[in-house]
Amino acid sequence: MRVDITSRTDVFEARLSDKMLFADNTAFRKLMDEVRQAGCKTCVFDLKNLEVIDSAGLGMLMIAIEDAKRSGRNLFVKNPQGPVLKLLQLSRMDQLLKVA
Amino acid sequence: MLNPRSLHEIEAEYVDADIYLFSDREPAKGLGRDIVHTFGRERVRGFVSLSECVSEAMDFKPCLIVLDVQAISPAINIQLQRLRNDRNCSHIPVLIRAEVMTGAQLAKLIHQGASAVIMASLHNAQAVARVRQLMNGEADAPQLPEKGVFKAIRDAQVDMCHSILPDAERLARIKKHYRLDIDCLFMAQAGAGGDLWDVMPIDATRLAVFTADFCGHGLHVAPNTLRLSSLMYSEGFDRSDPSAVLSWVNDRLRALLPAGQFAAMAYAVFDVAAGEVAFSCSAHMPPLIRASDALPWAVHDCNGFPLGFLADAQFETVRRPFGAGAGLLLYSDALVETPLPPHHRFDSASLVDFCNGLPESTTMLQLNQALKGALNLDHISLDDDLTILGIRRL
Repeated sequence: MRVDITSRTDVFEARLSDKMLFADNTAFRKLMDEVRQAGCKTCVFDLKNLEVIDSAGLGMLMIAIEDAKRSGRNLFVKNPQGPVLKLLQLSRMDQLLKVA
Repeated sequence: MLNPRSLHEIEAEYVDADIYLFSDREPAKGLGRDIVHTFGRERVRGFVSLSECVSEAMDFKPCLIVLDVQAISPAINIQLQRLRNDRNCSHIPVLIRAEVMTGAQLAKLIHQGASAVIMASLHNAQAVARVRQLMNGEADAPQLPEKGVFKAIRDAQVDMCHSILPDAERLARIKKHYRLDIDCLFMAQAGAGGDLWDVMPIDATRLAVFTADFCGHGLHVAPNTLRLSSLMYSEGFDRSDPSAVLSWVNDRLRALLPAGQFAAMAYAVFDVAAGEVAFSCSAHMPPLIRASDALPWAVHDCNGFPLGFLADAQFETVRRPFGAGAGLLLYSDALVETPLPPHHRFDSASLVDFCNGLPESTTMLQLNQALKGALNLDHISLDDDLTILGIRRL
C-alpha cells in the first residue's frame, strides 16, 4: 500500500493506493500514528487509487473507525472504486465510514 | 515383525551391541535390514518386545536406541519416560520412526526426550543416514529438538483445526439422511488458517450449514476457528434462525476478538420438508443460488456487518425455495481473489457464468473440482485460505 498524506491542517487527508493487504499492517499503524499526532477533527482517506482490499485491510479500517470514535474524530473515506467499494458494501462498512 | 530367528542369533552373539532396535514392522518395510547392513550384524541387537528393549538398554547402555513402529502407542511414551527418568540413561539417544503419527504425538515424544523423530515418508536410506548422524554424535542436539518442537506445535495446531471439520463418515450420514449433495473444497494456505465450515443437524428435516472466514490467514488466526466452533456447539441457542444465529455469534465474538479482527460468515438452514433454504450473511462473499437444476445460478447479494465488531448488530434472513435440483454455493474471498486482483480468475459475474456453463447434472464434487482446475490450484499457491461449500438438493 502506498500512502500519500496530502493535508494535515484542519483536515487530515491521505491518499491510499495500490493494495491494502495483511502485509500493510505496519504501514497502516504508522498512518494512524500520524493521524493522532496531527490532532485534526476530521480525517479523510481517499481510496480512488486503491485497487484491492482484503479482509485484513477491512480490519484496519475497523481499527480506524474505533480510533476515531474514541478520539471524537470524524472519519470519511472517499472515491472507493470497483472491488474496494463492493467489499465496503458487502460488509456494510460504507454505512459506518461515511463514504463521501 | 523382525525375523525372530535372526533376532535370537543376534541377541545370542552380540549382547554388547551399539544399537538396540525395536520394530513391529514387516522386515521388508522396516529399518532393521538396512541398519544391520550398514552397521554390521555385530553392532545391532534386535528386539521384539519394547519393554525388554528398554530394560536391556538401561542395563547395557547402547550408543543408540531405534524404535521403528507402525504407530505411536502409549507404551512408547511410557518406556521413553522410563528411560529418561533414569539419570544414567538420560543421555542415550532415541530415534523413533513411525508410519503414522499426529502432530500432538510428535510434540509429546519430543517433550519426553526423543532425540529424533522421523516420519515414514523419509525412505530407509535417509533414515539410516539419521541413525549414522546420531551414532557419530553429529546431531546438533540443542537445535534438533527445538526445530522439532516448533514443527510439532505447528502440526498439532493443524491437527486441531482439522479435527473440528466434519469428517467424511459424519458427512456421508448427513447427506444420506437429508438427501443433499454436499461437498466442500477446503484449502488452507498453512495447513490450517482462518476458515471454518460445518454442517449441524437441527432436527429430522432441518440442517444448518455455515462457512466462516476470519480476517487474516495462516496459523496465527487459526485459534479463532476453534473459538467459533466451540461457540457453535454451545447449548441453549436456537440454530434455526440464521439472522439470530449471526447476532448471537457477533455478540460473543465481540468479547473474544482483539480490535481489527472479525469474521465473515454465511449461515444457512435447509428445510427439506418445506423445500426452503433460509440464509444470512455477515461481510461474506455473495452466495450463488439456483432454485432448481433447470434454472441458472445467480448471485444473491446479502450484506451484513462483520462479526465481532459492532454491538447488537442486526442481520437479515433471506428465504428461497429449495426444491429438487436446487443449489447453494458459499465461498470465501480467496475464490475471487486468486490470483490477487487485477489478475483474479473470477469475480461474481464470471463465477456465475462458469457455473452456468457446467452441465445441469454436475455434482457438487465435480463443481468444486472444476473450480479448482479453473484456478489452477495444482500449480499455483493460494494467498489466502479457500473454502467453497456446495449444497444441492437431490
